[in-house]
Formats: sequence, structure tokens, C-alpha cells
Amino acid sequence: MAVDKLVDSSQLDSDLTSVANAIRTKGGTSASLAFPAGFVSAIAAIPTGGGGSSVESGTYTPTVRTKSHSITTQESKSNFVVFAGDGFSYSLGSAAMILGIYGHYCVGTNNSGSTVGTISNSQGSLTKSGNTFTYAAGGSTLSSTSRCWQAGVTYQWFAW
Amino acid sequence: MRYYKQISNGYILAIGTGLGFNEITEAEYEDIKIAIASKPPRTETTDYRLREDLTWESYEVEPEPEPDLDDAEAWEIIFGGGGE
Repeated sequence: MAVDKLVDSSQLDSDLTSVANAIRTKGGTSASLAFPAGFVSAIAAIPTGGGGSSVESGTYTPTVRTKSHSITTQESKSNFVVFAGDGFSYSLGSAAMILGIYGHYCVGTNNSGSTVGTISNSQGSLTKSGNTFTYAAGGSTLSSTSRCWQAGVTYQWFAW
Repeated sequence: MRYYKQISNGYILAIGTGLGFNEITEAEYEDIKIAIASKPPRTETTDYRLREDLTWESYEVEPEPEPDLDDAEAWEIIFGGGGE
């Protein structure tokens, strides 16, 4: 070991502690970090891209009016939104779900396809079980007022 | 991206992207999408379902039952001047 520099040990300890605290904050850890190996390991363990949750997405296009459909994500997600995209038209006729936000509300058209309103629980709901999100129109039958998944419409969904 | 089709009893119920159902190629997905866009219009007594060969087959639909009204809709119809 070469002994060729004089250092202020208190200042050095303080500086190393500052660096260690920055590494712990970025890496989301409270572990004690020994210099230098601990520093090196902790920095290597910091996720690339800043970490955080990933977003999954997909589409669903039914060929017939569908009362209920489930979407399963690869990983467990807390948030889910689905909305009607390509192919949607107010002139479709028959009620349809056009927007669903898990944990908040669903919005749909009426059976004339001309009015947009919040879907009450009896008319339809977006639920979650494990990794699966399900939107189901309300009622016991597929009637003209069931806010269903509309045929020919490409629904886009995101989960995070 | 993973493409899929949902099949039941020889009919294509849906297509999509993501997990589940029968995986298909992008080309097959686009072919089915074109077929979906050409679905004949539904009437009060007739609807159409998509065969796996991408042709539409007509079938009789059940008369739709009385609409399921929730309390708010019923209230609107009775007191709100006509509802929907």
C-alpha cells in the first residue's frame, strides 16, 4: 500500500458518507455500504432507466357484441384503463362501453349510441382479480341497453 | 408484439394484441381485421358471426328483452320527460 498523501480523515469520512447516502437514495436501500466494494455493488444494482413500474398494453377487437371480457397482464398491476379506439362511432346503435378506468368509473353510450354517460354498477363494472381485469355489462341478459364491448371496435388498454 | 385470435366452435370471436388465446401472425391479424371491417350490418332479427375462413355467416338473433333500467334511468323516464 502506498502512503503518499495526507488527508483530513473527518472530511474524508463525511465525503464518503455523502456519496453513500446518494447511492442509497438512488438505489432505494438503507443498507450499510462499505467503501469501495459496497459502493460498487450498490451502484451496479440500481435499475437502468430509473426503475419504476413498467406499462403493459394491448388491444381487443370483438367480432360480435360481447357482454364480458377479461384481460390478463403479465405482471400484477394496480392501474388499468381501456377505451374504444378504431372503429368506434356514435351511430353504431346499441349501448356500448367506451371508457373504463379501474377503481374510478366507466363511461358508455346509450342504446341509441348518442349519449355518453357514467355507467352505474348495475349497468356495468370494471373489476380486478389477480392479474386479470374484467369489464362486464350489467343485467342478466345482453339487451340493447347493456353497455357491452361493441363489435368491430378496437379497444386499447394500458395497465401499470 | 403478440397477436391473437379468440376462437369458439369454429367462429372467430375476437382478435387482439397481448396475452392469451391462440397466437397468430401479424399478417393473419391484419387479414381478420379487414374481414371484421366488412361485417354486414346487423338488423333486428339477423346478426353475423365470423367463420375461421373469414366469411360471415348470418344467424337469427333473439328478440332483445326489456331494457335493464337502473334507478336513475327509471327516475328519468318517469319524472324527467322521456329519458334516453
